[in-house]
Amino acid sequence: MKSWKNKIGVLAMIVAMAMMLAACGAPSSEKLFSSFEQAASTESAAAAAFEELKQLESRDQKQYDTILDKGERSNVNVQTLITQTMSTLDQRQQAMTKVKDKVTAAYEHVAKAQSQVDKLEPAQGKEQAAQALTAYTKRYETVQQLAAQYEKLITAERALYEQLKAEQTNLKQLQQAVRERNQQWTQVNQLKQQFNQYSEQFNTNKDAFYKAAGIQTDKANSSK
Amino acid sequence: MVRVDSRRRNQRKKWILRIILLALLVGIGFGVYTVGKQLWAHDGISTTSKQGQHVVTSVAAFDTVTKEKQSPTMYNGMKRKVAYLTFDDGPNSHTPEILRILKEHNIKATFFMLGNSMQQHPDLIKQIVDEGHYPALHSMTHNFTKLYRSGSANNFIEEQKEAQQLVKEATGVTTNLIRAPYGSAPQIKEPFRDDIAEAGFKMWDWTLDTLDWNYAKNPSGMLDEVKRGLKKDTEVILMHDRKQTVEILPELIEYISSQGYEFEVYDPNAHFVVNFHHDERL
Ligand SMILES: [Zn+2]
Repeated sequence: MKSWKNKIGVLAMIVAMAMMLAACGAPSSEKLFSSFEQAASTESAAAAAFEELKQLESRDQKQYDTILDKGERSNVNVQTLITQTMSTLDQRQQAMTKVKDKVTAAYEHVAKAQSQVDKLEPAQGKEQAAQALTAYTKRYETVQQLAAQYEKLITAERALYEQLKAEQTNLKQLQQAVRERNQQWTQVNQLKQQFNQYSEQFNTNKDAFYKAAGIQTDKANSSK
Repeated sequence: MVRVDSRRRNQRKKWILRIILLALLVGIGFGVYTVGKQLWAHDGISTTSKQGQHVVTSVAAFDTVTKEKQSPTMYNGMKRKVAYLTFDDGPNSHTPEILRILKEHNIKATFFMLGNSMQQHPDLIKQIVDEGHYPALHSMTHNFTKLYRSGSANNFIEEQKEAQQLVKEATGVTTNLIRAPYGSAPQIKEPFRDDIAEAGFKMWDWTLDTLDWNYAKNPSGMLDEVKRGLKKDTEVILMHDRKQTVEILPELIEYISSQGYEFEVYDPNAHFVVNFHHDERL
């Protein structure tokens, strides 16, 4: 009995050692590579949401112009169009939420990467890796703000369409609703641009890091 | 003796067994690691491609092509007539009087200010903004040759940026609205406008010129110009910070109101295009 227990103990230790050996086998640069690339590849599931958002936003813009144009004499003619346009507002919010969720999930792969960056030597692209990590973290933070701000924009859009739809609408209130919407839009746009800058910084710096670390790379079909 | 011998043999056997087991396990561990890595690669996650190279994926960016929404001036059978009073070339000694009249009528206006004048009256820039008017830009020098004859938009844009900085220093407001000295036509052509748009400025001309420079001795001539010109639902009316403007302004306001117009001040969140080229970017 006793000798069996001993054997099991030794076995467990050996298995643990073997696993550690396997896990620690890769150098820090390889590990960072896979953290970064796992993050990027997790995000590629959001490519459709980015595209959907773009389509929905540009369609909204067109339909808004049509509503103003056809509703000049009477808004009775544009009731259906307004209802239809309003129904896509939820889809826009959902697409933005999806982007946020994917970026958040992807960030998990990178969240603990700082210790790997610390282990790098300057000659292994430590600075570029650190910059890539910073850009990705800021990008993650920005998308949280953006999703929250987008909700405000959608609320303002909805209020504007309600105003356009109302029987007793008046031009001064309508103008007020447009201003409110544009204010929210300006902030959304700033956050989008910020996000885009961080995307570019992340892409550029991780490529620079791979180069410095001597990791040979191949471009995948990027989600752009 | 025999028992001791056999115990030793047994112990040696045990050790050999342990070593074999260890080697086996390390082997298995390495095998699992290698296979795992390979599988991972097939998932396309991190990854080694056929040539033994690592596949890299770029992260995406947002599309930012949508614009501000336009405010309707006609909708559901209603029509709103709006007049924007604009004053160029200030601030100067006439500006306080203009501000007083506007305040009396509870009207907010748009001031296209010259950098060189702003440097002399930083207090007036602040007063303009504090009283709810919009600070806009009109270059530093107003110098035609310098602004338009250098062969590029550089001088023009540099001067607007310099003026923009002066407004920011005096009020904390960053304004992007400019008006080209002498108007945007004919001197501002396509490539020039590309650069203005690129620099992030919005450029307003006007829809109604009071020709005030022509009526220094006869301010009522300005009123006649307005009576002749006031037609569109949205009018952007050009004036300058001058003596004749101060003199006729109360009558102008009265006439424009009597024609059913409401007064508005420029709002960057409700920007609309007012330039002679109908350039949608500006
Ligand atoms: Zn001028």
